[in-house]
Amino acid sequence: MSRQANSQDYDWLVKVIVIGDSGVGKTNILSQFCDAKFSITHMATLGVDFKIKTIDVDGKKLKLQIWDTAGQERFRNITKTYYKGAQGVILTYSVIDRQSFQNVDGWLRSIQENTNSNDVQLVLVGNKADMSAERQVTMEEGQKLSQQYNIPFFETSAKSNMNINESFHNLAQRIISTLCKMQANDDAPKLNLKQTEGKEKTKADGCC
Amino acid sequence: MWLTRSYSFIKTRLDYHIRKHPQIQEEQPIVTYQPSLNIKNKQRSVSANTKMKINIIKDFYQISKDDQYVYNSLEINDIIFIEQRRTDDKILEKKDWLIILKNKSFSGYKVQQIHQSIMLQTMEYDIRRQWWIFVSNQEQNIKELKNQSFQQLKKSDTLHKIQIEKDVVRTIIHDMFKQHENQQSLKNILIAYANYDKELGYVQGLNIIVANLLVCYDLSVNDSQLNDFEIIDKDRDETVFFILLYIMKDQNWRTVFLEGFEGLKIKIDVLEQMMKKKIPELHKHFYDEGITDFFPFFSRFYMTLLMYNIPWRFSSMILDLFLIEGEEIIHKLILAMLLYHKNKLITRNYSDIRIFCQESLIISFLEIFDAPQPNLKAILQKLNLL
Repeated sequence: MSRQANSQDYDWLVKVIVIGDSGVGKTNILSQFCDAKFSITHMATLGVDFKIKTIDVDGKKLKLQIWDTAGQERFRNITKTYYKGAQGVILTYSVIDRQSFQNVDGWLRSIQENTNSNDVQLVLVGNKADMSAERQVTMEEGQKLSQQYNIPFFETSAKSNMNINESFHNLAQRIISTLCKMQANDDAPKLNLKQTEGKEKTKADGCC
Repeated sequence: MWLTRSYSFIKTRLDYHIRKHPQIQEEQPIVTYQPSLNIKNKQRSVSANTKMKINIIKDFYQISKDDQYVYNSLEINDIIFIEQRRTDDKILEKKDWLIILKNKSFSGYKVQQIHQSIMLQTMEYDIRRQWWIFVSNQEQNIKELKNQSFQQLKKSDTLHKIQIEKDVVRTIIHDMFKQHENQQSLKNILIAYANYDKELGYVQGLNIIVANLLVCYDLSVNDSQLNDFEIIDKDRDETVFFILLYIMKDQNWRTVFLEGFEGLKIKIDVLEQMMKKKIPELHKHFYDEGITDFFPFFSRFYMTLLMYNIPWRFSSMILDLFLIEGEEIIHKLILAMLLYHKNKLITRNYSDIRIFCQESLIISFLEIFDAPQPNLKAILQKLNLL
């Protein structure tokens, strides 16, 4: 397949959702990743927020449409309707909030129920790792859980920008290899197009 | 309800019967668009499979012989919009607001006049307190609490306390809101409401509404205008609690937050239908860009009454309007914003529209209110807001 001559500034367009309990730092992780910003005081996310970030992965430009969801229980029914079509999930808990760690199981179940889990890549993120004095979840516990579910795991700090880029790049790489596999299997790049929100076109260039 | 006999603000009750075919989301929508400029062309693209019937019933009571309303009834698709014909009226001045407050009656003033006057912001800060108490049916709501009181309700325990405490510290809408007393007031009111309305409890969004009520009610934010004096109202929290009750109960805004957000979805459906009728070319563009679900674009607007992260001086105007006009004004304002930014939006793709709606739609629209009055009037008229 030849490369399409168009004005697109990316090779792939993918949808990523960020989920996890209220107040674990989802929005701050995103602000750090997308805008290199961190603020102690920001407003709670209501419904779903949306961010865009284009990154380079293995020489390919990947445009991420990131859906930042509200963590409050009441919003779960709404937010899970937005899992549809997502190729990546950042599942977040806070290392200073034990409850948010215990709820990871529930979040995983909800992903399994609402997505085609074979096509979705996950990464587990334990945020606020800089706040050692208030820590309630050890790194070992996080690792153990991630091994149990076979998901890559990072302890992050949105505040000190620790492992934020690493988490997203890890996810992005696995999304790309999944997409390539899917493309190779059915030689139908259109598949990806259909899954992405909106009608911005994904690349029809199939070499991986 | 106090409104019924004393006044007939544009109270709209919407009864909906929506039956959507479950497969509608999956189907590849086909838009057949004729590039005709005739707006009356009935485009049924989006709701082609939607059997939607919306009855808009206006509770309409004559208030005085000065009021003569003419409604135009238009039928578009399955929805009937009832519109008020525009007239040029005298703008209310300070003495007029005081007369209304003194008589506790709108007699002698037209709905449209009051609407225009609020839009042109002729109500001064020192009238607002009394005005809000008057229009929010305070006496009646206090009576209806019966053996409960704000003081008791705020002290009772609630399961929502943890979430409320998480959110109170991150509800920053004004510098003064960092003060501990204000955060305590916000917390008290939210806890009291969660105890009062156990079915709903606390949902994010309520914190924004209450924080804005607190700030706009509090005259200390108007320091520069107030010169050397400030009136401290020790009952502020209780009064704001009752204004919240009015919004949630009398204006029925609690349906926006109830489990499943069905009420919110209906409001957004109404918005979409209005947009399709009033700004069909933009609606078509949205649709062409793959925007078939308006919920992620506009849900926050309704959950916060358009007050998410905006300067408080605009919040006070929005609240002034909403307290008397209810749901309809929120739809109207969003439509006006879309119309105002139409040329920008119509060139953008899905992601950019999404970002623009999230970051700039409200705030860059509100800039128009900084225009001097004659210009503002012209702009508002153009945007169908007067």
